[in-house]
Amino acid sequence: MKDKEHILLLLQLVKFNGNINYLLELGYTHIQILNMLNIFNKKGIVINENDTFLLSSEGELYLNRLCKELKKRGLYKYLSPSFKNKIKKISINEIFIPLSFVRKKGLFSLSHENVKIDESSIDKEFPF
Amino acid sequence: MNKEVLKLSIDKYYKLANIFKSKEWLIDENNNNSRFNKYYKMLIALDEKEQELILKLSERFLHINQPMYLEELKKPIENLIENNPEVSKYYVLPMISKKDKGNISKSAFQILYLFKGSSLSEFVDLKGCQFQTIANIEKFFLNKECLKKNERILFVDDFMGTGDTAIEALEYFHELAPKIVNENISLMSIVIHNMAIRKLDIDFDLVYKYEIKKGITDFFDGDDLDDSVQLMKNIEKKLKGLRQEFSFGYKQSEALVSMQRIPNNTFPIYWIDKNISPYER
Repeated sequence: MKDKEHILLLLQLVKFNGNINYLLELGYTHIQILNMLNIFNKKGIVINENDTFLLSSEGELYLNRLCKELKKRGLYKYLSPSFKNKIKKISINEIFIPLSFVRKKGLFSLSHENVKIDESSIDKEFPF
Repeated sequence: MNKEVLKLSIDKYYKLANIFKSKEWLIDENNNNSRFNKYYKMLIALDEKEQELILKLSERFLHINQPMYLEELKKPIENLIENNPEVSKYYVLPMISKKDKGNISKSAFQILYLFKGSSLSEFVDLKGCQFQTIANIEKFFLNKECLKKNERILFVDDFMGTGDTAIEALEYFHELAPKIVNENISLMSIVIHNMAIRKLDIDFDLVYKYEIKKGITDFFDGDDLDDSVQLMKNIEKKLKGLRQEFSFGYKQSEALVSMQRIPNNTFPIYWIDKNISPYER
């Protein structure tokens, strides 16, 4: 697991005994998740006792350090975005036209390499 | 399925991994068809209390697949030879009922096959005993009415649940060989449920490696028992295609076992619903 945002998510999941499905949705395999948890265990970041999984004081420090590095403050130290719904950042020169706007104005013939249409919200009734 | 239900906390996820570790069950690199992922899918279909129960039961789950059969037969065979020092020749028969005669897909034939060739003698000290396999019982007992003093009948299977199949097999056998009495018959299985032991132990020499009990009734008591039974009933309501006869396993066996094929004696959550169950029948 290399993405620090994802490591932070795993730490948050341990801290609040959260749902492991959030990591599986990101495409991680069970082996990858379990290996990471085992590494946490070996390094004393988590404590695994009597079937509970807790963040150790060292783990809390690591979480804080990671939050600082990723510039997460306040509530965002404990909440991660829903990665599967995150949209890829586009460059400043790219033009983004929301689909609702395209539909409203009837701009179906628009085509240009720098024109991005928000295809994620195209529904089945749409004519293309 | 309600999205809210697709939850498994880190605690329970790690517990599942520890169960796999203690049982030396492999966690595959690929998620799709791995047993771990199938157990994971079973758990996320349940609520928290139900997940706790299934994890407790899965700690006691026994899985013995075919490559392990030869090794697992070692102890039963040693016990058989020890129990019957006067015997030097065994006629090995598959434990199948009359209606299943010739149905070689029955698991008893897999065990029977292991008595052929020399693999068994390389694994176990047979103390000079001979094991002759009999696949066609009818043909064999046309010419063989009685046994000599040093001969014995051995029925084999991989799993004995309620003991009903054994009784049916013995009825069929007595039809064909009425002169051979129960005293000269041994029954061998890798795993046996104590329901079968209670039925057969008085009349027969039983040899086996693992004895199993009812997974809930024989392990919980008081409020724990009532709660666990209620939870399992709730779980069963979520299963598609569950017939009443398999509720808590065939004849309420409450088994927690899978052999090469999972027996219907096992709690149906483990095998009946292809969307939830980790095993298939």
